[in-house]
Amino acid sequence: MLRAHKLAAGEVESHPGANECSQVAGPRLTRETLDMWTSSHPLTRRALLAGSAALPLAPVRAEPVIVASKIDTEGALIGEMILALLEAAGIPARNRLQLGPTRILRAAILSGAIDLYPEYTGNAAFFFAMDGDPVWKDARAGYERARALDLQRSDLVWLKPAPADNSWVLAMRADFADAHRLATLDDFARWTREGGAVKLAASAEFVESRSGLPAFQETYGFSLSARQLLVLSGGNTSATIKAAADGISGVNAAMAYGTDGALAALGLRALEDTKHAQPVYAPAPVARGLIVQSYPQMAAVLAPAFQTLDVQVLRRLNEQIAIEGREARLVARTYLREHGLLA
Amino acid sequence: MSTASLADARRGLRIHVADRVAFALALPAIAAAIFAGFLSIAPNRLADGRPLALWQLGALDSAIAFGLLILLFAAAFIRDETWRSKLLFVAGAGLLIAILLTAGATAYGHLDPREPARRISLGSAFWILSAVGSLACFQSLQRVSRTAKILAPLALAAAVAAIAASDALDALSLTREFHAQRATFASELARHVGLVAFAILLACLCAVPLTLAAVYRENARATIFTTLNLLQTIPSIALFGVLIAPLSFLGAQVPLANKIGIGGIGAAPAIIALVLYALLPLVRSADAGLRNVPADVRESARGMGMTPRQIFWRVDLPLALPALISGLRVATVQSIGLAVVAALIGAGGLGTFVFQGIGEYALDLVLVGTLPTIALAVSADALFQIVLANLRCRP
Amino acid sequence: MIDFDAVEKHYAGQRVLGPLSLSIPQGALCVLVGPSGCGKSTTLKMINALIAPDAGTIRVRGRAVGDFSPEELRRGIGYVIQSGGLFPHWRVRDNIATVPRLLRWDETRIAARVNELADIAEIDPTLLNRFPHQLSGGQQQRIGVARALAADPDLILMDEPFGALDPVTRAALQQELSRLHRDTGKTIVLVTHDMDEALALGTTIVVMRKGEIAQSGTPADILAHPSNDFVRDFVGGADATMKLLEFRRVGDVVRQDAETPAFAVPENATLRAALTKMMETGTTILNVRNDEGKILGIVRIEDIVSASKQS
Repeated sequence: MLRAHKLAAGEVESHPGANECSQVAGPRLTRETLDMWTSSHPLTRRALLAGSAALPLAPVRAEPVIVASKIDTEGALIGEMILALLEAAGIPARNRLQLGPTRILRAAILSGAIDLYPEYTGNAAFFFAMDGDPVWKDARAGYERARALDLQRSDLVWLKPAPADNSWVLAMRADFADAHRLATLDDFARWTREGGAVKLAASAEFVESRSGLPAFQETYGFSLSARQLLVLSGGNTSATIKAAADGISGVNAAMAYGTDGALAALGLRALEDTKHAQPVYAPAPVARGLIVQSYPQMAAVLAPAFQTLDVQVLRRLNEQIAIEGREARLVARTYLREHGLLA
Repeated sequence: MSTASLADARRGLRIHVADRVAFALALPAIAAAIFAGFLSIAPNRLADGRPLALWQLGALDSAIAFGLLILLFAAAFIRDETWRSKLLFVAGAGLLIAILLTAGATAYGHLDPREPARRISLGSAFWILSAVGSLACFQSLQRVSRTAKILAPLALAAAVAAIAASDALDALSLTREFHAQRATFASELARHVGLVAFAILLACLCAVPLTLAAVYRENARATIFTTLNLLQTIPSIALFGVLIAPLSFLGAQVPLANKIGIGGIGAAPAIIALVLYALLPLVRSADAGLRNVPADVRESARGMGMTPRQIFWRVDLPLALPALISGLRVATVQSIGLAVVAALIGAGGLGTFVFQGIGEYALDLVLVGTLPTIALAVSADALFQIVLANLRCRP
Repeated sequence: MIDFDAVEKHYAGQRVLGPLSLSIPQGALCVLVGPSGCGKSTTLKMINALIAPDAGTIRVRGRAVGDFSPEELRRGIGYVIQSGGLFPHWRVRDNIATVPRLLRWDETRIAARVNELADIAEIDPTLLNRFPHQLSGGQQQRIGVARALAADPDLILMDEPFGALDPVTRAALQQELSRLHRDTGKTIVLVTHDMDEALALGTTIVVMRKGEIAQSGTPADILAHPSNDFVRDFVGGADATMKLLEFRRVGDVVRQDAETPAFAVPENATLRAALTKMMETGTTILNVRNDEGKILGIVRIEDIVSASKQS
């Protein structure tokens, strides 16, 4: 799937929103005072837009939370879950799912155009240009760091993450992996060093980005020559997975994402990253501080569902959407109902 | 035997292709019907499908389709223009409707409750045949009355829309993708149209001073056209991307800008990019239209005692109007296509389905975005053609 | 009516026209004639301020051109150009109504005037609702003339009005212009490069060359006494003698004589017509009669020959 959730190095510098955020945020009081005057405060802004009929009941709380997501399968899935949960909890929400790639979502939430979207903890490394820091390889510490930095600098709140890791993985055909006894990346590295005929389909970004293939090669001690790579532009893992599954151009390994639904469906298996070459990419709802203040119950509404979303669950649900072609909205709501998370 | 009668005899013997376009359309259509896949059946949305040719379908279905193809082929040889037109339209429209119904019905037959993920997609033969059917219809309308030129395509479009709106096609993967998106389809379509309409409106406003400068100020002319041509060479995705930074900055620094929704993402950069692209066709054609106003007409207007303002409004502008509308037509059709890319910067629109589909490797989802885009572009084009035709018939 | 006083036009620092001094009296049909580039069109366009002079003054009806607003001046002067210059997006009716509309006449008055003009310019009323491109070149030019006459100006400027027409149409329109001029007494200034047209139409002819007036005068003056070789060549050399005969009438040279010729010419026939009659009839002497048929005297071939040598 096209998961634009990883930012290429240097992408952050190109949008000043990220750099400006610390100055814009400033002390809470000043900012809110300013907002009162400029009406850029979402509640003030929307109160002006709201129909007068809503005013006597709950003039402020009636303003919807603008929920967005990235333009990919998992974004649609988690976004629909958030929408369903908010609605069930009586928090009005507006659907702006599938808004665009990561940098668009980041710019949108910084500028206040959207209020809430699911982001991956590993991406904080790129938001704050700290991708060399080992903290991101630890799920808990990485989340805490992301939460602290964004709260302080941009008044953004990272709510409780899902216990899943959607980082880059290397996947091979299950039958091939079994035949060569390849379960972990260590096995893969050893097999490659011994002259195993590997041909990897991957995106250009994965091959070039420091945290992509180079990180795997460095951590596990192997190296792939240019002839062993089939490089595709874009981050489309459907194409790499299909190439490996069908053996197109002799490809037998594929770049994929940890929660890719297509892996199992096409008979591929992700090799385990035992040494944590990759930062942890745990999906978590990120919301504007002002929204969390307006709806303090939001964290409690979303947390129980996110807690259940581990790698297997996400893979299975992604597969239902991407492979079986079911509606993200239905998949999300059915899952929540089956697990008693939605009435 | 005299030479003349020999030539007559030869002419009589030779089979005469009366309509080369119809002939050229029929041949690839027949080839596609025989060799290419009409439907494709895949175990799931991502896997490759097994192609099914038209002749492998039900006997009645394929007989009708092939019969209409032969009719189309035969129409190419009819000398009488009226009859050829009629036959061509019947064959083309019939083919279009027949393959739609056939595809829908066949897809129902291949549904399997044990394999809910199974996907029945339209194959290349379907697309070739539907293109040939539409083109045959348009070819048949070459020499008919203006009313028929408008009514016949409308009737055909209505028939196709009626089939699409019924449940006849519901088993096809394309329809299933559409149904999966139906919650947001209308709003994205409206967003797409809104983006284009607003951008074109804004572009027209910007084009006015630029055109006036280009036409009446020789030294500004080169700069204007160099800049607009340069803008046109920037790939759309790059232009959309380039606008994010300055607009984010603007949105962050200027409270008023933020308040009216100007920021690095969403509609603002999309509209600005669309405006920048629309300027060249608008300004270029308006410039050509105004410059092509005959010098003697302008001189006699001046000699009659019209003020420069009167010359502009009463002479230059009405005479340049067909060119202005042509420019508007090009700009609108172009913007409808370009607005697809706007989905990548959060502006929404039909591109949302296209990029979601590309990401999921789901070509039928891509079509959910692409087909309405094409329909929009074709309708806009037809609308402007009608306006232009009405302008031209009374100069 | 129109007075040029030391008028000059410069181009790129060079004087390309003038100094030009010229008076066109009211009621004249003044033809500016000369080879291309002689400045005749520029001279014409300075009258209605389409081109501004760089030195000198031009007065129209006694008032300096610079004192008018250009539009006010032009609305009071009819203007006809070579290809008609009709507005292609307006019907013939609206084309003719151009200046009355600019002058804000009310629509009933405009409609009446358009019909009146169609009558004067002999335009088929069914053409009034057509568009210019549906008309022939001759018809378009007729409408161009009607449009110039619409607001009944006392001065009309015509820039090569018949230049793009075929000879037959041109001759017909020239005759109509002469008639119009005779009937209305309007002052007309016409530009042409065709000396025959100038001689056929003009009451005054101004021959121009390289931005200066080579000679001005009546057609007979110019034919009989070309002031220099340029004018002589331009009016047609030896052929000028024949042309001159067109401007003298039999009545001017009639004499009493005892002879009684077999054939007669009317007294208002041109000498050229009399000469033609002699050649046709094989005689050298003709009777001259007046409108009632009364014989006034005779004309001899010798009288015609000597008339062509003097003026």
